[in-house]
This record gives sequence, structure tokens and C-alpha cells, in this order.
Amino acid sequence: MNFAVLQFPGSNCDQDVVHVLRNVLGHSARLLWHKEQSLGEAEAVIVPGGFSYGDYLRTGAIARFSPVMQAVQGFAAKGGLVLGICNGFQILCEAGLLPGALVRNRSLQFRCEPIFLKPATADSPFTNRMPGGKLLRLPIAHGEGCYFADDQKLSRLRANNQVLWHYVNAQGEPTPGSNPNGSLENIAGICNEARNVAGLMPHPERASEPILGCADGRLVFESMTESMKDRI
Amino acid sequence: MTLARQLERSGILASAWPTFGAVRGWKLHCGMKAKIVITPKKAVVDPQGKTVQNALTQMGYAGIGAVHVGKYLEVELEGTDLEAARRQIEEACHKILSNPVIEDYRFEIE
Repeated sequence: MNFAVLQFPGSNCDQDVVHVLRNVLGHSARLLWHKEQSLGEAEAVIVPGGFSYGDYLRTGAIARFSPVMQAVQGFAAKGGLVLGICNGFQILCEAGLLPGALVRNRSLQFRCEPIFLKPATADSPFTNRMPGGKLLRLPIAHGEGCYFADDQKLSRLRANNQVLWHYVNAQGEPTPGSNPNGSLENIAGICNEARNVAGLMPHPERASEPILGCADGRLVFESMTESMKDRI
Repeated sequence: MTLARQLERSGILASAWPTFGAVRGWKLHCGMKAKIVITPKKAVVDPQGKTVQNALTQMGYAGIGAVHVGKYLEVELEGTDLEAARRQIEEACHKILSNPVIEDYRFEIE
């Protein structure tokens, strides 16, 4: 499978994503500089974490206007798979590819710690390898990961099964204590209505190899490649 | 180039600004300035605002109510067409300077 991993000024998780896709999972992955106007042969796009444009103005606010994002919009409109991780999730929300927004953590703290995620559905190209609500142990590292959407958007997300992951405790319960940033309804990641674009705040690329403590993160990428196989 | 700058460059006036500052009312200065205020929507929890409110109270200021922390931007604009500037800033506020999902904005241009 062929992945394009976007690179904005200030992105810093791009190399880790490429490493996991290439060296751990054996796929073709290349970095795509934000000024590029074509995605080439990419079958899926990853928008990685970091601090694009220094988070100036708002996180992801400037990156969303980079030339490469035009190509991503077109790709997504045709049903191409796009995954935003952390800053990538923020960029996709700013770009209108995902509903809602990410704001400053409720605690005002930058939270860098492992959390538990519970997939809310296996019915998506990003969670199909997570049936039965198996918990994922992933690290987060963010200061602005509090998911917000108005009541109308939230009901639509629920009705359309667009919430993909919730923050939970070790027992799988979405408690306030297990919510590291104050996200509404403990929402950690969502997809769009067409289910081809998704975003999540935790970092699956930092937990895809046992040597780093946990390899649950690779299930996110494996779900994508699984669904890409079905499309061929 | 404004007349003031031309005079400065030619050396006729060491600085034309004090002179022309006095005639601002006649709009001899070119260029406008947009003053934009961006604030979080009421529905969005504002922990920064709450923290500042607590800090003010703890410092002893009495009667402090809710505090909301926002952003202030100044955008200098060329030309003198106020209406065109208003339309431009309105679009910029909506498109990039604010996120309508979580923020409100207001501005004035002078």
C-alpha cells in the first residue's frame, strides 16, 4: 500500500509515521512537503502530529491553507482515506474535513501520558481491526486536545456512528478521570459522514512496536490497509 | 508612497509625521487599520478565563465576575476605501482569523 505523509513547517511526527508504515508494516510511504500540489500515487494520506506553523493563530489554522491541502480535499471528496493524528486532527477540523474543533485542554496543562482508548465501532476503515471493543493503550502529548462541537453536531455524530474512539479507564469505562483533556463525551477520535476521513488525538505511531512498550497503535494503520485491500 | 514619506526621503523634513499627525482629521495619512477582537463562544468552556478570574479574586479584587480571554489583532491596510476594507476583513475573519465553530469576532476599521 502506498501512503503519503504530509509535512508542514513545524510537523514533528512525520518521520515516526513513515518509520512505522515502512519499517514495521512494510508499506510504501513517503513524505509530502506541504507545498506539493499533487498526492502522486498515494492510496492514503496521513496528516501527522506536531506544531505546524508553531500553532500560531490557532492550531492547524494556517496549515489548512497549504497548497497540499487542496489535493487532500479533492482526494477525500473522491473517497480517499485520510487520517489526522493530533495536530493532523486539528488541521482536518480547521479544514472542515471533520466536524467540530479542538481547544485548549480543560486543565490548561500539556498532557504527555499513556491513556486507554475504547473503539466505539468496528465499522470504519480505521477501526475494523478492533472488534469487540478491545482497549488500546496509546500515548498522548498535547495541550489543545479538548474536542468541542455544538449540541446539534454532537447528536449527528452519535446518530451516524461517527465517534470512533472514547477515552476510558483500564476497565473500559468513559469516566471523567480517564479524560485527559476535557473532550465532550470523552471523544478521542471521530470520522466524517462518508467514513473515509478520521482524526484522533493520541499517537498510534508511537505505540506500534513492542520495544516502545505497546504495539496497539499498529491496529489503526492495519485497519486502513485492510480496508484498502477491499477497495482493490 | 505617501506625501509624508516623500518629504522625509527628500530630506525636506526630518520627519513629516508630527506635521501630518496634526492633519489626520483631513485624512492626509494613507492606509487604514483594522482592530479585530476574537473571543471564545459562550458554549465553549474557557479554562483560561476561569483561571484569570480566580487569580484576580485571590489577589484581592472584589466583585470580579466571569473573565473571558480572547485575541486582539491589528491589521494595517493600504488605501482609503473603507467599504472594501470592511468586506475584506469580514471575509478574512470568517475564513481564517477566527474559527466560527468556537469563536466570535468583531472589528472596527479606522
